[in-house]
Amino acid sequence: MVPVSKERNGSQKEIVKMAEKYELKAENVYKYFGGLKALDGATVLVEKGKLTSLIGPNGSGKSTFFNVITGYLDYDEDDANVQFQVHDIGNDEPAEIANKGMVRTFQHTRNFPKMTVLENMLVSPKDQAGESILWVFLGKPLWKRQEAKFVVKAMTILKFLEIDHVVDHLAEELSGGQQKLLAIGRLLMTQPSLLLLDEPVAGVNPTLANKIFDRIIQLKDTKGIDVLLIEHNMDVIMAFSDEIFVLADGKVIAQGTPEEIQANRKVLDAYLGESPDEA
Amino acid sequence: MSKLSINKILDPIRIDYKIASSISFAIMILFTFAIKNTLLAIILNAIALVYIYIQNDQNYTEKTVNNIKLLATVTNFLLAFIILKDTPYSLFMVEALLFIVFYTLLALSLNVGNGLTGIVNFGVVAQVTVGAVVTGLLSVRGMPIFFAFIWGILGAAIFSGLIAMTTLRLKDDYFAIVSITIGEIFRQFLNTEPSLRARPGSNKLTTPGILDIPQPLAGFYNSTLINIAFFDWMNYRLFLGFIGAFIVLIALLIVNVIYYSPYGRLLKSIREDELVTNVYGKEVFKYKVIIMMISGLIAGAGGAMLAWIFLVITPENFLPLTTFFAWTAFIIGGRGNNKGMIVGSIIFVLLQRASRLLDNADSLFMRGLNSFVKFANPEAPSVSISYLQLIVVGAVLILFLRFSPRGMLPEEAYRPEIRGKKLPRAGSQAKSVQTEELDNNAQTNNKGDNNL
Ligand SMILES: Nc1ncnc2c1ncn2[C@@H]1O[C@H](COP(=O)(O)OP(=O)(O)OP(=O)(O)O)[C@@H](O)[C@H]1O
Ligand SMILES: [Mg+2]
Repeated sequence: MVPVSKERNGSQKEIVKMAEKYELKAENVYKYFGGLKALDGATVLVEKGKLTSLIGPNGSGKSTFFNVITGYLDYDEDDANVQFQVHDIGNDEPAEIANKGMVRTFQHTRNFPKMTVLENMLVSPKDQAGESILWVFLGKPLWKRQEAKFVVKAMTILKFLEIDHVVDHLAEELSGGQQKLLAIGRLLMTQPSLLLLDEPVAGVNPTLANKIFDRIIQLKDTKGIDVLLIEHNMDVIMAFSDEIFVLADGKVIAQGTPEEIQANRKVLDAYLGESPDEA
Repeated sequence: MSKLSINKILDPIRIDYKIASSISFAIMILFTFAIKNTLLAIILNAIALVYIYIQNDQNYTEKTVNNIKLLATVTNFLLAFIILKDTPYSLFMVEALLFIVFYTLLALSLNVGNGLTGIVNFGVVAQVTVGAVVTGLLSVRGMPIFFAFIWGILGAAIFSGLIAMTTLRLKDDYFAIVSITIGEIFRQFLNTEPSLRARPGSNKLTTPGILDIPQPLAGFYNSTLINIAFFDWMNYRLFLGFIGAFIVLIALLIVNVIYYSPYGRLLKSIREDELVTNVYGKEVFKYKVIIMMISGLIAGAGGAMLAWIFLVITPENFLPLTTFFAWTAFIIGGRGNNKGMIVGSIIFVLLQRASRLLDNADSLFMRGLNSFVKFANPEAPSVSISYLQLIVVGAVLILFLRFSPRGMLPEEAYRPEIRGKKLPRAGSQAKSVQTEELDNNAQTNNKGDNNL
């Protein structure tokens, strides 16, 4: 750890103590696009074992928040303090962050269009022997064996997501909802400790959406995978979240359990537009 | 999506198609020998070829159709080779073979760089230059040709790696522009740098170039067995063509292993969307640099081949045109399909060279063309065929990009197998491999191998 971050986060002991409680701690995140303050000092904390949601009106900065903390966009201002488990990930490249166990999906579904669904699934697992040029030539039996295991895992996941019947289709041939599911499937192939999901069930039929959330809860409870997700669908958010952060104009305006959020006047205002007498 | 079905190919009844096509080939060969009329034989072959190309039977997999196309093209080329061997065109065919080898190597190099990984490399000729110059220079200075060749391809690989490390962070189109420039810089360098001029026994030449480059296995060829009666029609250049074909085979094997491995899959995902590949913690840049080195290795072998073909290399051999010719062969063949690179090169080289055959001022074609030009503008000088060559190649490229952008042999989606069984295709009624079954088989080693 670089001394600077140590100073900022307090002592090493404190970091570890924090990491015991929080999976992700992203404080004071700023992002400007020209004059637009997309993120204006947002702070989001993901507690271990809780399903945390990030909601807010369109354009409130939710996706931008994901992009910044996963390394795809740079931070503005120096105040940010982003800690994932015991790592300070403020200066990391996207690949480094992913390797530490924090993986994400994109709001606009991004798959590998000209590859089959199965190939798509097999790209994501970490530490594949066959992904080193030497092993490709020298260790064929090794990676073939590994591959067979990954294929089985992929088929199981695809089956769960109800897209196993299109396993041999090119990803570009899938419907919009199926493409979303494929992106989630790819994440599950990795062994993540924190999933960042940007509107995972937008456009997915409600029955399956509920199933997916059930599965996410199951992952969280059995495998200890934590989840931070963005979603506009209030029914599922209120039903499944443990903790909700509400973002408006780049600021976190409320935080709490679904009940607290539903009772919060500020949140209603943010969604419906502020009433003049309140302002 | 077409209704190509994986399961059909496993069906033993479908073997009949393979047998039928083999028999038709055999008949074709007998036929051509029987008539002894070269022109008629070639026309017959061409008809057979077209027939095979157009019958895209829905019942066969992309892979089967592609294999048939490859077989048809190569067989036809070899057939034409044999038919023409005692005619004045035999020289033409031998030279064509040499350049087919050259362009296949270049197209293969593009296929790993662009077809697989999506790098827009317009600097192929730079990689070729390094391969040619290093091989030529070292062997002229007395190094055994085999080692000079190894150094040549390694040199090209290292050079490509360095270029990639310094410029590959640029976006696609910017990298493309830079890569053209690098080729040109290197050519100018060759023009002016005295230490890159040589001939056996002398390092001081006043004009740029490497002269009298020794050819591989020339001594062996002259001394031995090969000159026995059966091969009486063989000359050294044909022998060189075979050496080249052997190099192509090795390159093809290497590239094929990469293609059908998790490594190849990862590269493909970089081509499709490198941002997403990044999400899974893969170091995209590192992979791109390595693949540029491998593409340099193969293009470098093409460079060595060029040195052996010409015996003399000068900066004029390394004009950017070579890059665009390589791209043409690559696109005609089918980006993303290794077998396609052979087909693409055969078609491209024959097209390019055949237009040269017309270069006879007395030919009907040239007289017609010239009278047309004179009609349009009486002052105009008579036409030279070398321009026509470019026009033909350009027109074919445009036609392909417009009507068949996937090329002659389109990319085949890679479908891994479990214990030699194909996975079920969507919608197919055939018995599918169930997940439970897969679970049971998981621990058993996968013996299936569907390379090439
Ligand atoms: N690359 C960019 N360049 C300029 N402005 C951007 C960029 N990305 C986002 N913005 C702006 O930042 C603001 C926040 O965008 P963001 O995508 O984070 O919203 P969001 O909360 O995810 O909205 P939605 O719910 O519609 O997905 C928007 O006003 C948007 O126009
Ligand atoms: Mg968004």
